[in-house]
Amino acid sequence: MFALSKKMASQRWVFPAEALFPLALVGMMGFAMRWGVKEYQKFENYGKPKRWNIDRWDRRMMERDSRLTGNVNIQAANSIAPKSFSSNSAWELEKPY
Amino acid sequence: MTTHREGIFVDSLWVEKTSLPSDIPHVDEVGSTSAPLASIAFHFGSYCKDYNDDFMLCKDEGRDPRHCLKEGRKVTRCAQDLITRLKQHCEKQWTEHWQCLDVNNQQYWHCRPQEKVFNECAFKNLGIVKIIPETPEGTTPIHLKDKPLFK
Repeated sequence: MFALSKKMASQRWVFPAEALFPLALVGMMGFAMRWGVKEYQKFENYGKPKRWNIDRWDRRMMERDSRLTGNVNIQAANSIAPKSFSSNSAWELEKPY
Repeated sequence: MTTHREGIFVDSLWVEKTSLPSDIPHVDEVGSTSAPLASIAFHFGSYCKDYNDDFMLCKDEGRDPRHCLKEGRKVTRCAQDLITRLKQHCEKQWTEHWQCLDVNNQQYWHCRPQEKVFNECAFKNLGIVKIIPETPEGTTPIHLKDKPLFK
């Protein structure tokens, strides 16, 4: 009465795949969110991924890049710098309103 | 001398109006940004080794900027010479390598194939070999290993 023997009706036990649908759904939502964040960061950074693990050296190099080309994301590979490079800076001038 | 906050109501950026004194010879600055420079870092180290060593030893004597201007000018001129020659011979390979670095947070390990091509071109045209200083004896340098992620 308790345990119907498996031999009574011979069926194979199949793994219930439908139990994984919520996992797949949540997983896809997670990946989509991550992809969305990455795409937005690329949109902000001229089509390149955002720089990470930046130390003081990288910060100073990026500041130099912005003085050479106008933006930290734009790179240039020339031997001689433009004339404005000898006198520009990245120091912001505030207006006290 | 940096402030540690961003400017509020920023009007413009500071432009330096006074120039260097006229007794200092004028040298144009190197016009490359961080990704191309990172790409040629080791090549610059071996091509301009003498001038670099002079400058570093001079800086060792003291941190005053005026003390090492002459050696610094030589380093700048050597770097400009290297970049001009590379653009003349190896522009395509160099551009591909630094564009790859640009997209990959300037980490070398993402861009080994392009680096290999660029190193071959630099060796063929200019005779520069990329050597990583202070590699332990008997081990392969990391940029020459076939499988760097395995022991």
